[in-house]
Amino acid sequence: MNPRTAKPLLAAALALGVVVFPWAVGGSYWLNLVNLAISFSVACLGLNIVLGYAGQLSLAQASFWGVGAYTTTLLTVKLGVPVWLGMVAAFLVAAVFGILLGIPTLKLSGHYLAMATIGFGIILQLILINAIWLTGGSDGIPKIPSPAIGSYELKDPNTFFYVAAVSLILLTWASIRLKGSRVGRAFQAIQGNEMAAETTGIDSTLYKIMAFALSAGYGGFGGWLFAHSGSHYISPDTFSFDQSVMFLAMAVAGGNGSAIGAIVGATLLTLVPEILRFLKDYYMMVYAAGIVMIMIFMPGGIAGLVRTLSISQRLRAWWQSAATQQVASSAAAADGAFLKALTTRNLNGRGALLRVKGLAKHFGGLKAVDGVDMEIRRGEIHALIGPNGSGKTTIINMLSGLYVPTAGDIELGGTPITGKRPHDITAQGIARTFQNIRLFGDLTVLENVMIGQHSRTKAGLLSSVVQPMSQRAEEAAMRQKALAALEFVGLRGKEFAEAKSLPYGRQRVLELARALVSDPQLLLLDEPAAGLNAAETEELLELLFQIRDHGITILLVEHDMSLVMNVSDQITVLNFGKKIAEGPAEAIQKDQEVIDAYLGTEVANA
Amino acid sequence: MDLATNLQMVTAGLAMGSIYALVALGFVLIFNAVNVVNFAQGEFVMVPAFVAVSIMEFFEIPFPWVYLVTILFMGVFGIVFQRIAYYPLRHRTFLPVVIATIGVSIFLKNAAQIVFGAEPKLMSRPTPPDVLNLAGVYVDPQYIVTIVATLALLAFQYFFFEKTSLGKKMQATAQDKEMARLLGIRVAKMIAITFAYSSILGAAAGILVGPIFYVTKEMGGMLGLKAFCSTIVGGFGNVPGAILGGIFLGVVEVFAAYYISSAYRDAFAFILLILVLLFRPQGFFGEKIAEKA
Amino acid sequence: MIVRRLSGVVLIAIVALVASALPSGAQEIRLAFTPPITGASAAEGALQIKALDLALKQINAAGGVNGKKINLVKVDNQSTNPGALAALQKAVEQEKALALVGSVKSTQILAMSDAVKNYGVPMMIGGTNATLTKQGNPWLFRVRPDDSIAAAAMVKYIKEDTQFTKIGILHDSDAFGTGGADLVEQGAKAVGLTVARREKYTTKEKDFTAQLLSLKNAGAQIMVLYGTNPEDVAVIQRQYRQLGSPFKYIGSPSSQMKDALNLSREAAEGLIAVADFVPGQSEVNRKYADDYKKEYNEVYDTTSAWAYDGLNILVGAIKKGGEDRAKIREAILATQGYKGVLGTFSFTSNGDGLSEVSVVQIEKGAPKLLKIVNVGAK
Repeated sequence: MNPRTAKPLLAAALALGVVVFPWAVGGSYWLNLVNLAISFSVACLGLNIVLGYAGQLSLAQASFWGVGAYTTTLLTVKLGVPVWLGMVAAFLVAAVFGILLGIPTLKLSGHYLAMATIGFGIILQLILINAIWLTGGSDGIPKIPSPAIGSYELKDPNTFFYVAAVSLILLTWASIRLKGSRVGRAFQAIQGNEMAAETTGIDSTLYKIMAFALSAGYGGFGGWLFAHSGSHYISPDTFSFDQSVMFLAMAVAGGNGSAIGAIVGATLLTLVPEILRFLKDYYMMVYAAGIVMIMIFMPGGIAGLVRTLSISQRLRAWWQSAATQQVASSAAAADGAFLKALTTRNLNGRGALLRVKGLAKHFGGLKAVDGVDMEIRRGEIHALIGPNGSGKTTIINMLSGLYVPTAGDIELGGTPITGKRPHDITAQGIARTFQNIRLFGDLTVLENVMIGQHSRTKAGLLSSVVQPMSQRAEEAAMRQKALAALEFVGLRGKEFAEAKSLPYGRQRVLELARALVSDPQLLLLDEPAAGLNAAETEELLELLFQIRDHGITILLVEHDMSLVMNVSDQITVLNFGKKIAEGPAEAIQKDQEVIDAYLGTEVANA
Repeated sequence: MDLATNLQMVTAGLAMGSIYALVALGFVLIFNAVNVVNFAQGEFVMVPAFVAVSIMEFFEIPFPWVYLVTILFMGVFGIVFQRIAYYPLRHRTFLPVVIATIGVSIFLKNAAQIVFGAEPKLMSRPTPPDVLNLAGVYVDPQYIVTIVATLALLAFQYFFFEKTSLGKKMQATAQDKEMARLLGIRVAKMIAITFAYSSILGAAAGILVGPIFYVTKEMGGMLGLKAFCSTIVGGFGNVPGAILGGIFLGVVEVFAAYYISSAYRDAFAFILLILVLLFRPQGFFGEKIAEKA
Repeated sequence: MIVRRLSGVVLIAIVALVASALPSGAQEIRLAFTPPITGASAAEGALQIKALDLALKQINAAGGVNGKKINLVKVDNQSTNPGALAALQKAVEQEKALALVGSVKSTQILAMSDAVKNYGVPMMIGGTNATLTKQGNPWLFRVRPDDSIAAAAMVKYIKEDTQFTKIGILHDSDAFGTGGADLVEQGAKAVGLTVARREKYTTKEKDFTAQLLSLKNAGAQIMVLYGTNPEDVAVIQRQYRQLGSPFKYIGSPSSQMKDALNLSREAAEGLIAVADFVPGQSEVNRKYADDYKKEYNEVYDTTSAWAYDGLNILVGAIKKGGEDRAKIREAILATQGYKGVLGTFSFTSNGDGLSEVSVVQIEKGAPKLLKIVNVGAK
């Protein structure tokens, strides 16, 4: 059986399971717990998006869960709004709150972000308690109505279960789809290496806010499920920091980054305390010890553990065989004329491509770059050399938008790009690689190169989930181009390897491939030969020539002088942040100031 | 708006602030050494408080001995803690460690309930219970002891870290483990000592604050979070910053509770935190750190 | 071989099935209790369990109900609302409890309320939020005086027994504190007292300097304290004394709770509070004190004694009405003039059992009765 026929069968089995489940279980006690577990699962699915996919540690998920619950409760109880509308409102209002949290915390990460989200959550709970005019305060709001189909109210846990189960299935399906899509890859790129994500064309601000909004929306939806089931009563003490911690523990125990893992984690941690009741007052201790154990021995959570089992690896390979076939067929279509397939822009033309005037960058009292003028002509390989600390990488960072210049102007093809954000600059046509390789290590080689095409593709959040024909076509085209790029740099056959598992030299060319697929006019390479052996450097040379001959301009920072002298059409030499010489290789080799500052006599006489 | 009221609040604020400062200090030391945010730091205050109370309940020994035993207990506790919660996770990213420390926090709270019972306990105070009246301001002698003890601890700490060989080794380990190792410093030992010292700071906080606020299993929770806020406000990773941040927070809280809203008192710590993170993320005393491209 | 194994299994399965189909509790009557065993309210839960266990022991020693022993199953509500609902459902569906002693926390009772109504199972509650018995749920029976009585008593005491006209209110921002404070405020205004200032605090707050100073500077002559947690109340009492007792003090029942007095010690001396009842005010009461002391070797806690009365009343109703939930309900409502630890119970049609409270003064670490206030049944 191949995956294609298996999928509808699986769906049918799932549907049957859902329909039969309440009868099989029987009794309100367990069904109530299941509904509760589903509400928690949805919240954890949301956390999985912002934390598992985008890598932002949010400890406020219970607050969004609460915002959703209160939104729908206030609307349905106080204003008589139909419960189904309450569902939409819960999602949207919570998403808005997610944006409110996301915006001020954009520059934060790790512990700082965690603390800010904790603070947000505590403040929100205090508002729920004290804004009595709005929320009814600590008394809470009872008698929350149930959703109704026509005049039939879904009051029992049995009937509500269907709503919960269908919601869970749809939201999970959306999460899984999201992960493998352009937006999902953008999230994962931000988690992998935010700086690289920006220079690859991803607007990290936009996507981080999107991640927060989406995860908050999921949380709000979970709150809707909670409010309209169980006790049909909510009060502020449920939406506490402790509950957020609980969600985090569930998501991580299930396996960070895995949608199914989030559900497993939530269900387990909801049901296990019930099963552990016999431990009486020891059960919380056992539970907490369990969490610590999981962290120590199973950091990938349950999903991680399952993944290591050989049977699950075989299952994965089988399931992905469909995707692999797609890749194989795309590969057949790709041929060696990668570079021809790459270009959509006009790379002809002569004259200056990049003009830099009076460029300066001061870090407090340190003048890293102190007034540099430079012109890079189209179709040339232009090298930037100088001793350590002379400002080479700083200039690259300014050109790619990672630093805002203290002074000076940068023009690309006549258009000023000074101070623009990296992803805008990438869209304009400048791509770069990094001195200390910045790949998305945990993602596959293929995914890395597909992310490189972010600025040239369009699929937004909705298309990424719904996946209409246009999105599928775009994905196929992306795959094809990625494969061609891999062919070009000699990485065919390694598509599904984890980027971090590649040997050092191969990682460098992968970064190059990622930069090339963004269809640049100008390629900024920061020490691309560092760490390469002689053979690899030769190969790199070949690639650079091919790229230049195709019409892409290259600005190269390098210390390997033989490479530089061999490959460059023009060389600019920096020292202490100032330009001390510029010209073709022969001239530079003979320049006395350059020899004194940097080259030494051996190279000069080479 | 009168002076007496304001002075009264400053006193209360300074006392609370000293406690925040002590706990914040414990935080910062661990963070500097191993880059771990210890979400169980509040329980480092709760556990010794219970231990001290229990000793006092069962034995009739003078206060100094009770405190000594408690401090020794916490020293050992710190070493055990790092062996269980930190050591196995020392090479991982920060997320598993954060969750592990949260797990330990929950574990300790519930273990305390089982071992010591669920009722709140009164810790006997070494100071006389009568309140002093200094120029119209009522001061609980225990508050004075708290502030003085905190200052003494800080002085001791300064001396220890700056002037003794062991202290300097600990600083070196905190700044660059690899280098320290290469220089022959026993890094694992330094880390263990750091955790032990941080726990001892917690013991000091627990002993000082127990007689004022009673001993309950929840006493560490909000204390830990607010201490964390203090470290960020003062400048994360910065020792004087943590202390000043704690005192600042303690005083600001009281005034905000009086002049703005008592119900939202807890919120102010976090509002302050968010404001600092937005506008001066390095805190008042910290240094800006940029990522190298 | 396999056939033999299989038939053995089948046989065991049949026996198990038959056994489970037998009416459970053939020789016992199953009741349940849903206290907080873990979580933030564990301390109170422990005290409630002590009170209940004492009652259970006495009931069973006296022969139970018509020779059948009472089996009281305790299901942890984890101190949360969803936990309370789950505990209730487990108690009724899995433990097959006939009736329950519920919770003392009003939010948890509200969480369980709908389910209680759907099951049609009688539940004795200790929550004091006045609205609990006015929600149209005929299965809740309250065995403590509710907040409106306590609040009215406080106002009455201030109006009649003191010369004060300006009051300050300090309360916990949770449901109990806010509800009580609202009632006090309404009642005070109704009799012409001025509320100079109202301040609140979040549960487990550590420092009350700001609030106390605020009340003082607003000119309050007496402070009404509506606090929930004993340790919070104890800190307030301490800090209130340390600030020189700037006004008089009258507190809700937690102010005279055993746990609170144990913590505040001499600071509580002379303070006035409202209590469900006062130890020693009746014979039943004194007997309970003796029995409790014999059993646990400590003084009993007044705020958990409701559980003792609750179980006794429930069992009394089972004796009268049999093991039929509807009849039990009728029997409870018919209970009039029952002398319990908390006072004399006479149930109203919406399930309230008590309508009187005691005003007490703390003397040498224990509450001493000043007067009993009866604001009439509703």
